[in-house]
Amino acid sequence: MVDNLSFINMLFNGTLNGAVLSLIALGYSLIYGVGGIMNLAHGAFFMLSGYFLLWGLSFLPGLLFFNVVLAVIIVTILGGVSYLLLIKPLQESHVGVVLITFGLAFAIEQLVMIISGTTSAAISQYMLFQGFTNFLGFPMLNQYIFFIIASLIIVSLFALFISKSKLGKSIRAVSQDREAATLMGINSNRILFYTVMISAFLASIAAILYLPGAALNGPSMGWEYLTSSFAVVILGGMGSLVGSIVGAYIVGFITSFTNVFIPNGPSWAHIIPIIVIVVVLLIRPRGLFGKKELK
Amino acid sequence: MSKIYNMTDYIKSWAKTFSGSLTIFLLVILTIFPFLSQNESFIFFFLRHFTLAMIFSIFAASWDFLTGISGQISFGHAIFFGIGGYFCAYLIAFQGFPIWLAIPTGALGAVAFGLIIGIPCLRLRGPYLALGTLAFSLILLKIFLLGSLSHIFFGSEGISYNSGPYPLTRISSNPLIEYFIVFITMIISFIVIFQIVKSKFGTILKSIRDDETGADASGINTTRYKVYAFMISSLFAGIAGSFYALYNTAVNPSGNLGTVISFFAILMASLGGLTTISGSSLGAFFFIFLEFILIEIGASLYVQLIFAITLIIVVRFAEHGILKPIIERLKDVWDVLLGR
Repeated sequence: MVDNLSFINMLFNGTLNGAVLSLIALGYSLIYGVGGIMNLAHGAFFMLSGYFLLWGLSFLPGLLFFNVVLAVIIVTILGGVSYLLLIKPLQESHVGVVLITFGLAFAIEQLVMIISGTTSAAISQYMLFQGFTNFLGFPMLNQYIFFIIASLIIVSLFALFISKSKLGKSIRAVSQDREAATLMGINSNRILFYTVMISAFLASIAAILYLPGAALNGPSMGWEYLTSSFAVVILGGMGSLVGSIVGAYIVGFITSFTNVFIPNGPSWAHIIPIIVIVVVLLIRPRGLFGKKELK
Repeated sequence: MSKIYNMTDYIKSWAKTFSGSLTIFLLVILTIFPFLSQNESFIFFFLRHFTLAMIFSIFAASWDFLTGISGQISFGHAIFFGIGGYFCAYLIAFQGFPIWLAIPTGALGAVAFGLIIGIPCLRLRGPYLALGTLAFSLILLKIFLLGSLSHIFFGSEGISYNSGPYPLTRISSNPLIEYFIVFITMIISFIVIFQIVKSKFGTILKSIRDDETGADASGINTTRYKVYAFMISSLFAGIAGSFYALYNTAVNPSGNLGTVISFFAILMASLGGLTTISGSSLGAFFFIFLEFILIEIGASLYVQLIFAITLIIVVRFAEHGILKPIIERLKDVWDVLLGR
């Protein structure tokens, strides 16, 4: 039975999922495209931003804007620091980078667990936009509406940044050919450093805008976002930023569809990203827009 | 006749090398250790920890074989471990298999999965393979956790001692016998893996690890060897998993198929050194006892955090593990002591 309400539900949540995933996957794809680095700690950065918001607001309640900015800044810096200390020294070794970012993700998760335990926490009282809007009978969280719009704006701004700005062009140059970029006078290491920070920045922005509406499901929530992000990037094609956005909305809608229309939906919805990964890798490993060789 | 002759010669010359004699020394300690203490409960307590460490040694070595020697990065090794354990537990509790039959059969089930996972993973390299195997292990975990499928997969409860018509017992009610059975299995497993690594087959695997395109160009059927590597690795992981199921007399999704299990394999093998098989054993013992100490001093909350930080430090500063440097140092001390 497809009634209007379920349909709108599916559309709205699909867009919402797409909005979150596009920001997270964009950051993930960026680091991979530019530096060939798989940052397994990306999901952890997302999760950590949410928790920083929670902690900041328990210490300094009421200063919402300050805490938001603080959370974003801390995670962005953390991204940069982890690049300098952990990733950069291990660039030659694929296994090494993967292991160390994996270790970092685990360490972050454990730290958060020690501080806040494993129970879910809600930060809904800190939403920027409270309340619901009713659309044809379906209640939509205002925070979510705001988030979707913000996500689209951020993605557009990012597209502008990457294509027009000097830093954006340098980033693209390094992603195309690192050696040639260095020969042209671009400090590839510095560019990578900025890229990792931008990536962490995108993840934390996504977190602080989305999570107040969604709740913090324990420190291990980061892994699901990491897997979803990986699914999106595989589907869209590693190294393609457009692919990440498109892939994000596709995965978002598939998940939403499963949630609403498939019996026992929510249980299967968790597995969707993983099924996407397996299917894409078996059928078309390059993904939709993939340019890079699957290396 | 000459083959046996060469074997004894080989063993003798190996024993004379430093690492050979060190290994023998440690093995002798491990053999005598259970008989050292008079106190019943003391033996029991530490014995079981040593047994657990040996089980994880086999598991870590299996991972090291796949990732360190064959270059196929596996982040989902819990799959083979868990399937081996589940299959073994199922066969014993529900089909009444005797233990000595259930363990190998469980391991064979794990090998089947090695094939199932290995084939799709053929086109993946490096980080893709890592995440692909992670994804597979997450699927498996979620499937086993699904309440709707619990009539096949036993849900989040898993199988425990009394789940089925037959009791899921330990390998032996006597921890001493349990210890030695695992000990002997560990020695045999390590010898087998070692020999494989040293053989021509092992060299081919290493060449695939170091330069797959080059190996392909040399006419090596990399596909076939990669699948073999998965199967061999999953065999030993399955053996370890079966032993683990019997050690706990229970299996459940998060305890046997969870990502933390995969993490343990990576952790233990990395500490000892990605390419040294014996290092996996060192890593396993180190972490089992680190966990024990941390729990004893009341810091059980910090166990995984400290593990994670240790992994970061080891990978960052000693990517080839700490086993070789330690042995080098020990060797130098030994030389000094002997006045060389």
